[in-house]
Amino acid sequence: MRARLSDCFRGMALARRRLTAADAALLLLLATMNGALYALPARQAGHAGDMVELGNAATGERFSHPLSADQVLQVQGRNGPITVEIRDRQARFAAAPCPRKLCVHSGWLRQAGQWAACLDGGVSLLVLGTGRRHDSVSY
Amino acid sequence: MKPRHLALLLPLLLPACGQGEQVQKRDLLALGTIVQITLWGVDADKADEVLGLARESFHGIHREWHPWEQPGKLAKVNAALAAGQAAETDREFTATIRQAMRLMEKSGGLFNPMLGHITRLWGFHEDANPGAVPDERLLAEWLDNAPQASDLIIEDGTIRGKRPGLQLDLGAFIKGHAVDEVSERLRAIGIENAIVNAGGDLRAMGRRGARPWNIAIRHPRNNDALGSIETRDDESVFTSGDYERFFIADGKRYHHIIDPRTAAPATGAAAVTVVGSSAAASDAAVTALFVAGPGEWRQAADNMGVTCALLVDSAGNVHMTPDMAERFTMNEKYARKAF
Repeated sequence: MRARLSDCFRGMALARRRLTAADAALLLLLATMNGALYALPARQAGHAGDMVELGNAATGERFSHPLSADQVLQVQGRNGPITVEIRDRQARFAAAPCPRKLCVHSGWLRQAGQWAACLDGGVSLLVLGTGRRHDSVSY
Repeated sequence: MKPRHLALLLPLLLPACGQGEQVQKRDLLALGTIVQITLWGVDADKADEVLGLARESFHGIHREWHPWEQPGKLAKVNAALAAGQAAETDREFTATIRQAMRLMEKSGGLFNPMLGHITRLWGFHEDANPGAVPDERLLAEWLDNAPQASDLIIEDGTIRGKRPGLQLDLGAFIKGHAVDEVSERLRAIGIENAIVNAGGDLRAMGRRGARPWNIAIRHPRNNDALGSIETRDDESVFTSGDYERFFIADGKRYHHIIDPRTAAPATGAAAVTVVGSSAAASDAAVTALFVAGPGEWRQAADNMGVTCALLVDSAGNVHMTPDMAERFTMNEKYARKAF
């Protein structure tokens, strides 16, 4: 193990000696991109979403739809058909057969991390965006 | 650039690799809500196995513990209690009832598993929106005879009431019990990194690869996060709010969390979150703290052994225990006040 480690250090020394200007430029570019990727997680809250994830617990299906494409989706929930509308980079429950309509009243979702669910129908919407997202929601 | 030089760049590229590829999510309907299982580090076949196991557990618990749906065990007990008779039960069922009654005692009665009758009076036992406030005389009558822990006699093999009309409703406990059971079953088949989330109440085990699980806490009035918390090893995160089940009558909001001291929806709190080890105990605690309200919630937390909790009061102020304040990351837009 010790011999392998020393080989590795020797390789790094060789690499340093043979680095060209182009290699150095590429390294700099990758390091900058890497820094940006690390910085992304902190930027999630309050940013416009890119996709909406639609989960249907009644069927076990889960789909992602781009918020950039306006469309009306019909989903078969546990209690009947549920209408999900995507328009102007937002998504919402447009219609549902549940008696209380809490999902419909929850309105448009547009920012990464926003969500709504029709518990009676078993259908949920979660807006996804750039950066790290929450793994689960306590509500 | 030589291939061995590229190898030196690999650590730089690691954050770009999708950790999400190792996450599997499965949804099911149980206990009248959406249950979501999130797994890290398993393949799709294993995730499907977990889904089958979770479905079996949740549906079994729903059948046994629904307060009114026959032929469940609790429904049979309630039928017997209503008639003033003793109900025969098995050892496991009795142990769970005892656990709930112990939590009732610790909470000083703020969590009360004997609110079955009052829940029905308010109409929160059905899916449909109740929409009307019960007759005040009926609420006063219930309060005059409000059930006490000593009214329920639990002996080996039987449960009976000291007086007829007692009705058990473990709605503020059984979801946690189910989450605990499923989590333990997952662990028994070798699942170490998972979140079992039943309608927003969850237990998170292990980690998501190199980082802890990150759990958002819902804002009580908006469809986004009030903030988030990272779980440690194996923790439950339970939230209750006045937004889950409610109706508006004469411009006033009536929600489903009943204060046993008034027979009416608890006032003062909009949402409470509790972080603890046992999901069942966290479930009971979150109800007790909500009922206690802004003035008494810290005392209720102490009584129930809760050290990590937050309460959003009905004016939008966020109150936290020191432990929660240390761990909670507030959504920037709510840094001053929730609403």
